[in-house]
Amino acid sequence: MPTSALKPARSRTTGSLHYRLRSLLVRTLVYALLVLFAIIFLFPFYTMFVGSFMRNEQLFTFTPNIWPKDGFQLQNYRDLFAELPFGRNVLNSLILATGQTVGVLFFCSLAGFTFAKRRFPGRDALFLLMLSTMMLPYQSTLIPWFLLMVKLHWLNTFLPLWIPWFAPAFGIFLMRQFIAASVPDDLVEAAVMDGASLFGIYWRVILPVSTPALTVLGILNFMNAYNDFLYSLLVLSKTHMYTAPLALALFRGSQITAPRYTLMFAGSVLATLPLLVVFFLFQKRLMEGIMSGAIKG
Amino acid sequence: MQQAPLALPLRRDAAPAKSRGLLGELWRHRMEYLFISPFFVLFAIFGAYPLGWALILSFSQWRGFGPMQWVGLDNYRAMLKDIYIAKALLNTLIFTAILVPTGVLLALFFAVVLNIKDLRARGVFRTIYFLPYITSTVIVAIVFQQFLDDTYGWLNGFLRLLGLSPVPWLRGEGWAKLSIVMLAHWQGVGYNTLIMLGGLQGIEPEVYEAAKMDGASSWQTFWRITLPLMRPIMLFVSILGTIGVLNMFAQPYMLTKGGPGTDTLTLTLRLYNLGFGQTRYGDAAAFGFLISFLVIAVSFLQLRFLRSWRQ
Repeated sequence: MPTSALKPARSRTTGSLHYRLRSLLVRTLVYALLVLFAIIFLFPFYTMFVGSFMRNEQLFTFTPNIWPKDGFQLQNYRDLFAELPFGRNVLNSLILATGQTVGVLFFCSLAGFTFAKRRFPGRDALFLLMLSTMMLPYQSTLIPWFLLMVKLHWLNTFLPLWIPWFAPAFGIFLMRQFIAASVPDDLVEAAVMDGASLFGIYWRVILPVSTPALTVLGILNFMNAYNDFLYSLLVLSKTHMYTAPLALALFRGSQITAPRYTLMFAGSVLATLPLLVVFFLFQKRLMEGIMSGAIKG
Repeated sequence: MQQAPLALPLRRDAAPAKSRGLLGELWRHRMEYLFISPFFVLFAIFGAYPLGWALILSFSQWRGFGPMQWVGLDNYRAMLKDIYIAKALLNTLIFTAILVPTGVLLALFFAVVLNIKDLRARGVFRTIYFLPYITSTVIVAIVFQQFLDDTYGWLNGFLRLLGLSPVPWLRGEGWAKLSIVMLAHWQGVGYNTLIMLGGLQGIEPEVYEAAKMDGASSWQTFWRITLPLMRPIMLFVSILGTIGVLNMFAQPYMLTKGGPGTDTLTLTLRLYNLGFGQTRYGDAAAFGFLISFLVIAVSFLQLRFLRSWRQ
């Protein structure tokens, strides 16, 4: 890190040379530390990327290779596609995440609007009841949940990963808080005067102004669904229905077989790319959403 | 759960309802009930119904076929004697004791540094630190597996470079735990940092102004003002971390398969092995309740602590 890039320390009233030097030193140290940690956080991504172009004999050297010696060869990617319908697996992850997120956004905003802007008997009690279900840990229902999916003949379909997750209490809570705080009652009332139906108000008035909350909820849900492992592992057992994480887990090796890094690295790169694109599109809003405490848990 | 003021009623029913009774009231609001119904319907089918089923299962012995056999409290009794469960509990305790305090300190440190006002490129650092959080745990584990390989891994290569002896990161007892800890920190610290940053930015600037006026050094300001005000957020992050440890599954499943031996066996991994590896549904259902009890207990402690701090 070139120190010339750093702002000179702002002199205070004292402004002595000693103070400025000390301040500069602290600053340099802080930057050095930040850069060191940035390397720590980025390095595994880097090894995954370059590793995806290396064959076994390059991956398994006594001193690890930092650069693919034979250039960026695509053989690992070819091998991966020869062994698995990996394009389909990534697509499955995308279908799973998109389908679930569309449902979540619709049902959470609809219920959030109703809880925030309508008055009806039992509203507050129902809202509290809904919130209290958030305390129920998933481990308590994991086994029968799976047995239910068997009973419904939903194994090896996306239904178990879509329908049960369409109306999470947390999402409804998030949407209710946002709509209650940021949609003026006048706006809703004016629409009522115009004789709009309740759904019409939701669709034409509430949805357009709720985009900030919808974005945060949507991207977070998308990421979680795209990366889901446990529930996919339970209900998907056919290779062509596998999501990307499940497909990659196939190559992790066992007591008798060695892990196949060449295929895992190539697949990891392909599976990470779509999510990175989505993340960078909505990065600012997502991170601000987390900082503002909108997302807890 | 925070108690936010509920929204004002939309309209104060200009035309008073002609004493239509409760049923009429309900019917008049049928659209509202319809709009909030998806949650309740889905919860009834995929939450409450499995919950009741789990309760019955936990008193039965069932392998997925044939008739269920009622065994009373046997599953719960067996659970207390199950050495794997005891080991998983112990591991969870150790993981919590290591991961939570170090995680809070790391996140607080990053947040304080990234909160320095005229720091350049702090947004870039924030994003870089957050990136692992959005990456699939399966993929993170794959990269770490190679990174920590005994012979060919980067970390041991680095140790050799420094003249140190290599370490059995994934196959040595104790070391495997440390590897899981490193993985969890690497993946999660960026998220916690964001929560802490949010807390830091919520502190009124006037508080710092006043401290400056009184001639407090930045070190004093940190200890006397920042730290006490951040306590609720630090607690919140530590509770999130504890529940995260109770839920830990993909990390050991991918990286160590719970090994060596049972060194990294976690509660949820044991639940998975019990239920889906050995199809001992009854035992697994009972064990699921034990984990749930722990999660709920931790959440309640959080509420108690937060309340006593906010007064």
